[in-house]
Amino acid sequence: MGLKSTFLFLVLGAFIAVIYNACSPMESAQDSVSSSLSQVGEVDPDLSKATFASTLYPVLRNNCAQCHGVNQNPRFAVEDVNSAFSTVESRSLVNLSQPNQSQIYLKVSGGHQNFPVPVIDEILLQIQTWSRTVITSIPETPAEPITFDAAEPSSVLSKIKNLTQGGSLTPTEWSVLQKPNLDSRDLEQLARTWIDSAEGQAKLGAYLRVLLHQSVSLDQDSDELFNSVRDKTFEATLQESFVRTALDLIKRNRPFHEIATTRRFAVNSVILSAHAWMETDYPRTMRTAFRDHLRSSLVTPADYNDWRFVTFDDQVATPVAQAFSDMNHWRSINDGAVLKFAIPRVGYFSTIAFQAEYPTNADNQFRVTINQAMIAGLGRSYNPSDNTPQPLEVGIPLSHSEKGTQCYACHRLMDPMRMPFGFKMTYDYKLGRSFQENMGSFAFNNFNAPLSSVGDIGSSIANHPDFAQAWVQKMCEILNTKKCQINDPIFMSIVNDFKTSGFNFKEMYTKLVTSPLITGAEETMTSLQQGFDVARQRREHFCHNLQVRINQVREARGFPALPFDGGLTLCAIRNVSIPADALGDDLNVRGGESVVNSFPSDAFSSQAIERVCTSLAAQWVERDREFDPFNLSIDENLKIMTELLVGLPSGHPRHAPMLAALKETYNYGMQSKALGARNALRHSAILACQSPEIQGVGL
Amino acid sequence: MKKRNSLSRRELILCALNASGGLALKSLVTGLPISFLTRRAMAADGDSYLVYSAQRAGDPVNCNVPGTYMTGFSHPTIWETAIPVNFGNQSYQCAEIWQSLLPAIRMNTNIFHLRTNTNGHGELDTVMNIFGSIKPVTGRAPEMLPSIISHLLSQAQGTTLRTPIAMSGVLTFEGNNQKIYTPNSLRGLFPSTVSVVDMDMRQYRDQQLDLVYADVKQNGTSAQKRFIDNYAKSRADAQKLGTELGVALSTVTGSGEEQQVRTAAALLALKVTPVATVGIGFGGDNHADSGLTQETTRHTSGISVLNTLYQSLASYGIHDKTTFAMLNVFGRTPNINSRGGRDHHGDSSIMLSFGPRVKGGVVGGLVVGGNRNRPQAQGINSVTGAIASPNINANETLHSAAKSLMVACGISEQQADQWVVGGKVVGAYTT
Repeated sequence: MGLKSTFLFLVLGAFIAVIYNACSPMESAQDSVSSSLSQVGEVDPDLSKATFASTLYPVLRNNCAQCHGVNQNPRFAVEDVNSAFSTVESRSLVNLSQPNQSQIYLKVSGGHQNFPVPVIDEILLQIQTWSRTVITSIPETPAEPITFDAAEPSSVLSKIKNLTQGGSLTPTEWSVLQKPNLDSRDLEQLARTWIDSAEGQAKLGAYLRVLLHQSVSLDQDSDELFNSVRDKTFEATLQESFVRTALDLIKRNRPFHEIATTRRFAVNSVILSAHAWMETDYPRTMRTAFRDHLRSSLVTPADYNDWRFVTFDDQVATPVAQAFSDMNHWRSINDGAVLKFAIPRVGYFSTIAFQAEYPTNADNQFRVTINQAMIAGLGRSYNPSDNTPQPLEVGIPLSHSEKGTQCYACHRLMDPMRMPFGFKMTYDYKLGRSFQENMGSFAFNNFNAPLSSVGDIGSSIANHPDFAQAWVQKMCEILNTKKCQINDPIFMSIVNDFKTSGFNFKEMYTKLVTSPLITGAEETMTSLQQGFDVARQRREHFCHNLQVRINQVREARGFPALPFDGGLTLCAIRNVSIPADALGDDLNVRGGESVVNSFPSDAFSSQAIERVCTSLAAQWVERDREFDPFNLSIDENLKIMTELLVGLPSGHPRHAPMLAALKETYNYGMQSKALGARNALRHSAILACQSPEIQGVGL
Repeated sequence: MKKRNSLSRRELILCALNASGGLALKSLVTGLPISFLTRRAMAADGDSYLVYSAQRAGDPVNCNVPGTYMTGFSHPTIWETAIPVNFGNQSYQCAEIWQSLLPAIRMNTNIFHLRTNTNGHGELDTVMNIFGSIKPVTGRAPEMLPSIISHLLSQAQGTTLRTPIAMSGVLTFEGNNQKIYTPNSLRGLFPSTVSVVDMDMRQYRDQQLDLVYADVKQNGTSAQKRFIDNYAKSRADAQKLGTELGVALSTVTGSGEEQQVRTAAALLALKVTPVATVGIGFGGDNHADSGLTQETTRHTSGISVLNTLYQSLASYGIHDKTTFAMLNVFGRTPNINSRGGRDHHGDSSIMLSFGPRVKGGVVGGLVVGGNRNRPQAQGINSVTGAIASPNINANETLHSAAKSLMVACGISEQQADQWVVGGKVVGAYTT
C-alpha cells in the first residue's frame, strides 16, 4: 500500500471514528426533555413532519444512525421517519422557537463523548430551516447578545499573577509590558516564576485541594470514621496530606496521572497514627479512643508538622502491629520508609480525607466512593447512556438488575467498579471485609479494564483516554469559574500538549493560565459561546492574595514577613470569620461534576467585604504595623497602599486616581468628620481593601 | 382602697394589642421591636413573593398526600388508613398528618402530581431548570425556576436584588452558581446598629471608588464594565439595606429549617429579594428507614415548618402576597424496599404549594403502570387539572407545574409561555 493510500486510509478511519463518536450515546431520555414542538405557536403537524423529513432527518440518519438508529435511546435516527419524528417530538429534542437552544444541538455543540462533532453547524442550519418553514413568527428571544472585547496587556499580566501567585506586580514585572514584542513566551516565563514561588505553590495547592476532593469537612457525616472528631487542626492536616503529595509529583516532573496510582504519600505523625487507627478493631466501648488520643498530651503540635514521604505497601493481610497511640513509633518513621498497612492506600481516592468527606454505608456500599473517584479524576459522573461494554457484571443488586431501566444503566457500570474497595474495607473504611469478591471490572466512557485491586482502579483512571482533557477542563473551571468549550481549538491544543508531554502538569498549567481562554487577550471559541467575565474573587483566594500583598508591604517597611499560611490566619481572626464565611468559596458538592466557585456581586457579598475589610484595616493601621500614621508620612502610607496592597504600580493608568481617592478619603475623615489620623487612614485602607483590583479577577 | 383605674397585666397587654393594631402580637411572633415593625412600609399592594424549597435528597413528601391511597402504595403504620382532609373546598383522602397543616394554609394548598423523570441526586439542577427548557436571561445556560421568577418579579417590584437568596440546595442565576447562605451567616453580616460617622464615611469611600473606576466604566472591556457596574450596585444595595436587615435577623439563631423560613419571610418583607430558597424535608433520603420512622418524624416537622413560615409571613403582613412551592429532585417509591425505606422515583413526584393565587386541591394523579407496574404520574387536562382527557403529556407535567407556579406568582400566562418551552399552564391550579 502506497503512502497516499495509507494516508487516505487513515483519514477515512479517523472520519469514521469521529462519526461514530459523534453518534455515541446521548444523555438519557430525561436529559433530553427540554422543549416542545407543540409550544411554538400554531404549527401544522403534517407540515412539520414533512419539513423534518427533508431537513434535519437526513443529517441525523447519515451521521447518527449507527447508534441512535438502532438501539441507543433516544432513537431519533431510525429508518422509519415517522418514528424518528415522534422521538424528536416526544423527547423535545428540538426547539423551533429558538433553534440554538435545541437539546439535540446543545448536547453536541461542545463535542459529544469528548469528540468534536463535524456536522454540528449542519444540524443547527437544518433546524433553523425547519423552523423558518413551519413558524410564521418566531418569538423574540429574551437572551442578550454576547459581546467581547480583548483585555489590555496590563489586565492580562495582573490576572495571571493574581491567579498564580496573588501578589501585586513589581516594577520589574510591570516593565515587561514596555517590551515592543511582548509574546506568550514572556508571559509563560513570568507565570513559571510565579507558580514556583512559595505563594504560587500554596495557591496551586488550594486549587488541587478542591479539584482532588480533599477538602474534607469533619462533621456528622464523618463521625463513623473518627467518632465525632471535629478537630479543625486534624481536619486541616488531613486536607494537606494529598495536596503535598500532588505538589511533590508536579515538582518532580512526574506524570500527573500518578495522582491516581501513587502509593507515596506525604504524611506526618498524626496522619500515620490515624492510618493505624483505621486498621485497628476497637470495641464499641472504645469508639472515642482516637478522639481522646488527639486531645491527649501524647500528641504535640510538632506531630502535625513533621511532614515526610512514605510508601504504603498493602501486600499484607494483617493490620499494622503498632498501636495508633504509640506516637514515639510514628515519629520514628523516616522519610522514604515503606510501611506495611493492610488497607490499600493508592491515589487521591484512598486518602482518609477523601473517605471522610464521602462516607459510605450498608446501603451505598462504596458507590459514592467510586462515583466521586471518577468525578475527581476524570471530571464526570456515571451516565445512564454510557454504553461502554461491561465485561464482568458482578455486584449488581437484584433490585436494580432489570435490564433496560435507568437504574440498571448506571449500576451495571458502577457496581463492578467498586468491588475492590469492599474486599479489604468495612463500610466505615476500616480494615475488614464487606464483599467476598475482589474481582471487578472498570467500564467508564469507552474504556474498560479488569480489576482485582484498588490499585487497578487507580491504574484505570490514570490510563483513561479522558484523563488529560478532564484535568485541563478542571483547571480551566477553577481559574475561570466556567468550563471551557472542549472543541475550542486552543483548549484542544493544550490537551494535546498535556498528553504528549507525558502529563507534565506545570507546563499545562502555565500554558493554560497564559492562554486567551483565561486572560481574555483575544476572542476564543469559548468566549464566543459563553461570553467572558471578570470573576469575583473567592474567599480563599481573597485571603491568600491579601496575605501575599501584606507581606509585600511588610518587606517595603522593613518588617519580617508573616508566616505564610494562605491567608487562613488573616481571615480567621475574631469578628472577621463570620462575614468572611459569607464570601463565595470553591467547593465540591457530592455528585456534582462542577466545582461550585462562582461568586456574584450582590449586596451580601459587598456587605461581607465591608465588614472583613473594616476589621482588617483596624489591624493594619496601627503604630508599628503595616500602615503607621505615627512613624510614616501619610503620603508614604498611601503610596505603599496603592502600589503594594491594591497592586497598581507607578505608571499604571489607575495609579494616580487611586492614590488621589485614598488621599481624599483620609482628608475627608480628618477634616469633615474630625477623625484622628489613625481612624482616617483606616478608612483609606478599607477603600483599598474593597477596590475592584482586589475583589475582582481580571481588571 | 383599691384604685379603680389600675390595670391588670392581662388588661395591659390587651390594651396594648388593641392600641397597636396587633403590632404587639406581631412583635411577639417575630421577636422584633414594635418600632421596627412600624418604621417601614414594606411590601406594597400587588407585590408577589415566592419561597421555594428544593431537596437534592429527593423526599417522600409525595407518598402520603391525596391521590396516594391506592394500590401499590405503602404508608407508615400510623397513617395506613387515610382520613378526609380539606384542601381548598374539597375533601381528600390522605395521611392524618396533613390535618395539622393550618386550615388557612390548606385553603390554598395544592398537590400537583408530576414526573421529574430523574433518578440521581445530582440531577436537582436539571429539575430546577426544567430540563433546560427555561430560556436564559443572558448567555446560554438555562435559568432555574426560582431564578426566572425572581428576575421577572424584581423587574416589576423593584426589590433590592434581582437574584433569589438561596439558603439550601443549589441555585444558578444567569448561568452562575449562587452562594448558599445560612441564616447565621446572613445575620452575622448585618449589624443592627451603625454610627452616623461610619455610614457617612462608607458613602464617601464608595463615591471615591466610583471616581477611580470611571475610566473603566467608559473605556474598559465589556466584561470589566459589567463587573464594575455590578460591584457598584452591590455596594449601593448593601448600604440601602442598612441596619434594617440586621434588626430583622437579630432574632434568628441557628440555621435549621425553621430559621430558614423565618429568614426568608424577613428578606421578602424587606423587599430584599422577591424569591428565597429553603430546604424543608419530609423524610429525606430514606432508603433505609425501617418502619418509616424517619418519614413519620420528618413529615411532622416539615408541616410544622410550613406553619411557621405562614405565621412569619402573616406577622409581616405578606402572607397574602407570598407563594410557597416545594419541588424536589424526585419523589420516592410508593413501595417499601427490602431495607424498609423508599428508593428514588422519577415517575412520581409532587409540587406542594400554597399561596394567594393557588387553588386548594389536587392537580393530576397516579395510575399503576410502567415496566415495574408502579403508580406513575399521568398526563393532565390543562383546563380541569384532572387526568381524564389529558392534553399535557406526562413527561411535560414538570414543565406545566413550573408554568402554573409562575402564573400563581403573578406572572402572566403569556410571559410564562415565552420563558418556559413546553407544558401548559393548568387553569385549575390557580384561582
